[in-house]
Amino acid sequence: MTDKKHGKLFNNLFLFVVYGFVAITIVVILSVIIYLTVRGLFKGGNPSNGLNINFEYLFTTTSDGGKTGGIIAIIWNTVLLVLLSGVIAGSIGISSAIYLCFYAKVNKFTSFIRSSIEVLAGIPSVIFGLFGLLVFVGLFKFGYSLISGVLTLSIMILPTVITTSENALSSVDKSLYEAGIGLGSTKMEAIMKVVIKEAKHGIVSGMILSIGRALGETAALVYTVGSSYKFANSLLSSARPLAMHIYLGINEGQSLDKAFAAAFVLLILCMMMIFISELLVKHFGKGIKR
Amino acid sequence: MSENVFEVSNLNLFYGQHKALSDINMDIQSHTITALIGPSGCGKSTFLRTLNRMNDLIDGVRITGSVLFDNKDVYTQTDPLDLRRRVGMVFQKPNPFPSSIYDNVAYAPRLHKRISKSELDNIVEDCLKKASLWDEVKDCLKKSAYSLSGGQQQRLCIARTLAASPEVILMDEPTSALDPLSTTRIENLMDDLKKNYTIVIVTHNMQQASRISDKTGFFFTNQEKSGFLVEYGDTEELFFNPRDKRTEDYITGRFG
Repeated sequence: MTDKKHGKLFNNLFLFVVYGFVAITIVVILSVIIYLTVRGLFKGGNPSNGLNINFEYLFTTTSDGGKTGGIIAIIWNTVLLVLLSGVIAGSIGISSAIYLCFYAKVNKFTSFIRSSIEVLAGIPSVIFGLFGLLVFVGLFKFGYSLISGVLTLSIMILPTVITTSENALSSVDKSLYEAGIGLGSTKMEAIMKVVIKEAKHGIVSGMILSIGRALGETAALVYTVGSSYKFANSLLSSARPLAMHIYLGINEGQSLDKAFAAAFVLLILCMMMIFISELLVKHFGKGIKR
Repeated sequence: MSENVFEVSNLNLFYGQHKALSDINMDIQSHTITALIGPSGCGKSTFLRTLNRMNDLIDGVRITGSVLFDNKDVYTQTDPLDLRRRVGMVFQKPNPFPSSIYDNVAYAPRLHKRISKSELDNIVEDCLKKASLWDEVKDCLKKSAYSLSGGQQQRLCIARTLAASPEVILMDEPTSALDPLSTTRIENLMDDLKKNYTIVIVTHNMQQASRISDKTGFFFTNQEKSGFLVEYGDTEELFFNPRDKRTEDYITGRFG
């Protein structure tokens, strides 16, 4: 074979492998989504058995230990849990990223902070659950409650928020920041009005990633948020979220149909959350076309 | 007799242990264009940035000596925010904000105070006219600044700086990233701006320096690799009758 033919063959082989892996990825993702949809929407996964999910299921509360009734309260709890931890982790996380990017001096202390964040990011979620149990449920005496769950989740997703936000901030061209300062802005003004505006897509992507993790979290919440399936109406009330509902449902041998129904609802919630975030970013980023 | 806008005496600047600027003495007169020329790495930009305290952004920078702006010491008697409003800066690579043309120019006026829409509209129009950009953008002020060409973006940055109502405009190689036509446009602009502002420009382009400036300062490095001012005077004199041999060598192209 000539060199040219050899090169072309290798090129085609490489392309084939790449496309092949992409195809596998797409097939796997689609399979999961389609299976979940069919199994969740129809009783026993069989369309001829009738709908698994109906209006009643979505909009009434759970009863009889989870054997009957709908999941409206659980959806509410989930949204509350995720929103509150998002707000807490978001505010602390983005502020920390701003500090690391613009205020922290290059020294041992800063290196120590960065290493700590990296370590935190690698800790399995069940350990955060145990931490939450010991500290929030026990020591602070919050008991099995929404606040214990929220605090535990916030700590868990904080490293991801910080890392992604810092990456987004530091990839903004420094000359934009300098231009802001050169026009007489304070440091904070230049950061908020110039850098954050440019970095907001990256920051929001990071938040979506982090909140997505919180949405599906079970291990960190099993020991902290309690298992009440009623509407959480105070920070101290127990508040079972969707992922945990699925876990408990299967664990306690409740209806598999209901577990898949909840899983499907969770999937839809995830997609809605991503969709809304993208919409918000587009709305606030209007008129900034490249 | 024009007064001195800046009076620099015995200025030394250190990046940590390294002395980047050595004993600079220079007076900059109002309503003049002062060009700073010299080979790369001899502190021209560093010196420029001491005039509006942009070096504060770098960790470990230390200066000795004095820089007086309007008879007040820039480092001990002046608020840096106020200084930067009064001493504006245009950078080498055009760096408009990722927003509309209008919002770019409106950035400085909106800082620190409430301003009515009509007043803001007037300021934006005025500054874009002064920067010789108004005719090209007046019908599309809401378009992104990034839709403009390089030369237009740099004129936008000039308009943005003008909107802060500065007294001095510092320019750090403002045309080195632009094509010859845009360069000429901006040079003509500077000639107009001189009537109302004082301009200090760092440039590698000697023809540019000799064409547009009233005074020129030639920078070079000494044995310790510190930048120092070899010669400073009227542009015509420096170019046609340089006092120092190093100046003459640089201008005639023997090095640099």
